[in-house]
Amino acid sequence: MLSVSGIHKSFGGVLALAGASLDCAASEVVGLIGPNGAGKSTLVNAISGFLVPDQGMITLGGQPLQGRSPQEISAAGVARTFQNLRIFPDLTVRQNVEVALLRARRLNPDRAASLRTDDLLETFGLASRARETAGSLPYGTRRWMEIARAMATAPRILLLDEPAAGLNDEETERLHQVITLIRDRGDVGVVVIDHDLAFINNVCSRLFVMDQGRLIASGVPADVWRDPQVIEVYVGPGNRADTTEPIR
Amino acid sequence: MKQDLDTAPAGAVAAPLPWWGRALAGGALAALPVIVIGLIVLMVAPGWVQNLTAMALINLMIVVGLQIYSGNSGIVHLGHSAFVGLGAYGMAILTTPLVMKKLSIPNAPFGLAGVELHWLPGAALALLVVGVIAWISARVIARLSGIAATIVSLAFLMVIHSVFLHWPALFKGNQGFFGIPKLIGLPELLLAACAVILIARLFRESPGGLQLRASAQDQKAADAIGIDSRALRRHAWILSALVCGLAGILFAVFSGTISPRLFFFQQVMLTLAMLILGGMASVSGAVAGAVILSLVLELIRNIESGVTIGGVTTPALLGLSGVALGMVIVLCMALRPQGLLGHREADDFLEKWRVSRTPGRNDRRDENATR
Ligand SMILES: Nc1ncnc2c1ncn2[C@@H]1O[C@H](COP(=O)(O)OP(=O)(O)OP(=O)(O)O)[C@@H](O)[C@H]1O
Ligand SMILES: [Mg+2]
Repeated sequence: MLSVSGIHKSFGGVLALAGASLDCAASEVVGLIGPNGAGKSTLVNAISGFLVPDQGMITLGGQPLQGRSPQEISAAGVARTFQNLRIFPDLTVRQNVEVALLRARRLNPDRAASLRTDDLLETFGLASRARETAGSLPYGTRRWMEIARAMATAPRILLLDEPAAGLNDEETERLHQVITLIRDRGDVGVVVIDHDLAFINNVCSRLFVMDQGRLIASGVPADVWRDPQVIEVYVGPGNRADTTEPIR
Repeated sequence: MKQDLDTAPAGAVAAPLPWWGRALAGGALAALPVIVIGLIVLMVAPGWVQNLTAMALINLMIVVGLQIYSGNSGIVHLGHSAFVGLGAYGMAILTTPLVMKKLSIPNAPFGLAGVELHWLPGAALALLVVGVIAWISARVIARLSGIAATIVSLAFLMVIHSVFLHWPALFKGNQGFFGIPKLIGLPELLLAACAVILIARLFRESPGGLQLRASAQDQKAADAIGIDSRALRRHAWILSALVCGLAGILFAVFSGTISPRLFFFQQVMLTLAMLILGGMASVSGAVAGAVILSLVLELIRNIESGVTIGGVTTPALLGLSGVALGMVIVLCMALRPQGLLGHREADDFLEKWRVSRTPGRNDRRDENATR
């Protein structure tokens, strides 16, 4: 459903993306991994319209997305979260989710018809905090709220940029359950970026590995982890071992 | 996708009121102190106090009008007095009796020298003019955000003020435009102020208002969920202009005389200080700021002209109210930049207080914490 190929993007002299590719079908969970600075977030920004790629093709269900505004891409069915959490701090938890649903009911009435704010709040464990101001929530809860808000746009593709960062083991397990639940709806594809490789291996049926703006390997986890280039990047010749467990 | 992922008790969220219900109930609560003060003044106060109260109500309407744009978009607006002026002059030009017009604007263009409308079509047409000018200016201003939008709003004020001053055939220039029929008093202004408070609250709680507030808090997050913040800023700008225009229309038919300087910096600063004091993110804040600062400034004006306490007369302190106004802005920015009420409405405080008194609610909190 989502198909991304040959994306190039440079910032001044820095080539952040140099031929990045990815694809994701409905009811599939794919992982996008790679060391810090590999270009994962930049690729998410390109797909969601926050930056315009210099080259390459992005299509959703056959419709080209590149060159469209973030609003149009959201309306087309791409939802995302942000690596550095972006919430509406002065709105309540409920309003944070509802505001996305209100918009979806306008832009995508068919897809949004089955969504209810209360259900989303409950699914993401937010029901009891619905009336609290979002800015007063602890970090983990904000993450749930951001994902709930993304789901409230009734997406066809959900892009999660490091959703497990800052979550404890128990919360990561819940995240796994929630992502599985979204997949089982059958009409949403999920792209997960994360540095927690155990988590990634658990939730994703296919992986895309990036390094220095390029796709270096893709496929089912078992194959990917046997790829010499991936081994080089992740456990490589000693000096790159630091990239396996990033601090972030 | 309802699932038992959450261990919190079901039904923890009581079904909330629809947005318009919340807006009307909350708006009524915010208007309550205004109604009480207004009625007391109406029943017991002497004429000069009634006049002061009437002027305070007009300022309150302007502050609430300003809140509609600034409070929801998070952008400081310095041009709102231009719309007050446009409403006032529109009403003056359209409804002043022909005999008076012969004296004041005998050479008005577009045949306006020979026009004398009944107050209702006059007011409607004046509002229409305000709306059209707001619609045109919105096309420019809504593209901008942050400080750029503020600067353009200031430029807009300068342009309109300059037109008032330098087109004497229509606006009578620097001199006052007199002879406008005095049609209303305190009761009408009180009603209008309440209506305006409800309108502002309805916009704030409406789907569009909520989306605009969200985009003001995080533009990128708003973009990512498809919010069209440009269109929403445009709507807020126009509604804000209409409310300010209405305040101007009412001012014209209350005072009977208007002049360009009334709709310039002094009014901009006064109403902005009121909004900042109360807190621009809420309608209740706008109302509170307007009420409190009106009272304080009136007190200061009395001290300004010298008071006699126990036979001792204090010297006149001219300019004290200007200093006080500046101090309010400075102190507010330093001590409580979000204003007295912050982003909360009066009913949010009531709700918070009610919840904190309800036993059982706290148990649920604990349960959550240990989950
Ligand atoms: N707006 C920008 N301007 C300039 N350089 C940028 C910009 N955004 C990203 N970059 C650069 O592009 C490269 C890729 O960054 P990106 O954030 O996409 O990496 P990432 O794979 O998401 O890393 P991490 O795992 O640390 O989040 C980095 O070298 C970064 O410095
Ligand atoms: Mg990143």
